[in-house]
Amino acid sequence: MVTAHKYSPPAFHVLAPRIQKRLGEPITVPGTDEKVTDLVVVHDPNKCTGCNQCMIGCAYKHYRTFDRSFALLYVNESPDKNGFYVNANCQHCVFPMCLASCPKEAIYKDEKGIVRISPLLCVGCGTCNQACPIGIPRLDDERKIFVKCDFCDGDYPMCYQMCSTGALKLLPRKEAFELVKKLRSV
Amino acid sequence: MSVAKPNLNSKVESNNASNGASESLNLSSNNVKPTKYGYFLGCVMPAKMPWAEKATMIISKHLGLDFGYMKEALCCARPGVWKAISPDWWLSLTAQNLANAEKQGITIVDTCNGCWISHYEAIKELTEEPEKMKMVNDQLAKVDLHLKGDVKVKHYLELLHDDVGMEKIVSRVVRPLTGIRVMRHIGCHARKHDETLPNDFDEILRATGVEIIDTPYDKTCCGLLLYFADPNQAILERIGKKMKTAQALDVDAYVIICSGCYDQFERGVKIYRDEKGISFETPIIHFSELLALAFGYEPEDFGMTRCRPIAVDRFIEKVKAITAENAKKAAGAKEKGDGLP
Repeated sequence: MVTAHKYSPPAFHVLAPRIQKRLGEPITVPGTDEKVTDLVVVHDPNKCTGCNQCMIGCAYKHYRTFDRSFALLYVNESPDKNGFYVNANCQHCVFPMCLASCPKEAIYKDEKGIVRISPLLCVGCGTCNQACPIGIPRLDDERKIFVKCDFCDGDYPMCYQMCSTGALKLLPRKEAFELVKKLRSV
Repeated sequence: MSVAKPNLNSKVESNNASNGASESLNLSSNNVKPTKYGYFLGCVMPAKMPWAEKATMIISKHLGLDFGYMKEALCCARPGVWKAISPDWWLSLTAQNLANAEKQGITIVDTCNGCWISHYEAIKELTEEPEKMKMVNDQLAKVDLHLKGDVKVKHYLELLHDDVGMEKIVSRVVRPLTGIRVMRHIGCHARKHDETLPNDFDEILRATGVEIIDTPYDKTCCGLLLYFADPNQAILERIGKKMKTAQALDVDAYVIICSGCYDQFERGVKIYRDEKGISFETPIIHFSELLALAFGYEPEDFGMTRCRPIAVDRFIEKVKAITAENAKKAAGAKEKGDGLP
């Protein structure tokens, strides 16, 4: 007896809980035994020499090229102060503006707390770039979609590993916030 | 120059392995007694900076250090390139130098910041993480080496400041270079952990009597790694700005310590000269040369005038003039002292 093939729909990824609870393995804070789930990269401009190793490491990690224009973080000389280098890198915000603004719901916060852009859903409108206070997401010219830092999938980020002066620090969010406050008061 | 000249009879041993010098033939045998400190030359030092190499050897012997070349030295495996490609490859390549040094029972001494940070971070990472040590030892076993992790790594500045001591360095200065104005560039990696090395650098420089001129571009990177990614920016925005500042301030010399930085300075100066028709006149001088001059050695003792992209003649003339003036002052003071009742 021939039975009719029963159609079963594919299991779609549910996007509804867009800010998910962090379920990932905690990461060890460098130089300590403490394990946390919320680490961020902070830049100390007083230590930065503008060597651009972070950008080059990032470009190599993600695009296998030393061309720093492919990097997902940015270091430039300050227009106000000679020999002073400022940086912009994704902080994987607790409530990301890019995520809130995306009209295609292509941006999500994954189980490790990393804010990601889905390359399949992104249409390259650039709203995320406009919404982000420091304009982190950038256009990938070849794929015509927006791309951003993915925290090297939860490893110690390559920019942090490559930093030649220790200007990039990997800290728990609370400590990072304290450091930024201290740096600003200086 | 009328300066009490140091004894040059104790010639510096030249058992340089990485130069491929004839003496290196003896290295495989164990006839040469290993020194306490093994000088890791790196790639740039023997190729582009023979004067700095010689000056470093001279001053180390002069300060009474048990100092010789490290034998069987390989590439440091520069972290700026290798770490990005594969951290495990970088660790394995660097560990070969560390294992060689451990076998020879020496402390590795680096003048190049790139070499230093590579050795320093590799041994730190390996001793802290036993899994990585196991991985590296599996690789090293293929070349009959084993790393226990006992080897010590020192920057040359650390060696001078901590092991020799400032008192001894100051006491050996017989030709104070008072009146020489310099800009200095220590390099990025030396700033990595804290401000100790930059402070040591300044302190030792000041001990020679030179005046250090601070500028906004002191901290700025030389652009060595950026040169692979964006040559234009590396030359114009880094070397160009630094050298133009030096030119504008009319300093007598740009003092560096890192061989990697020197490589980039030399390249930048040559590109400016050949492609843009701009010639910089501020000589780029190694820290050891300045110390050797202050210790009373003559520029000819370490071949200071050779293989230079920017001539050092004007700098040497100024040093000679200062020495003559100091000698005159000293003679005057002595005469005055003799005339006293």
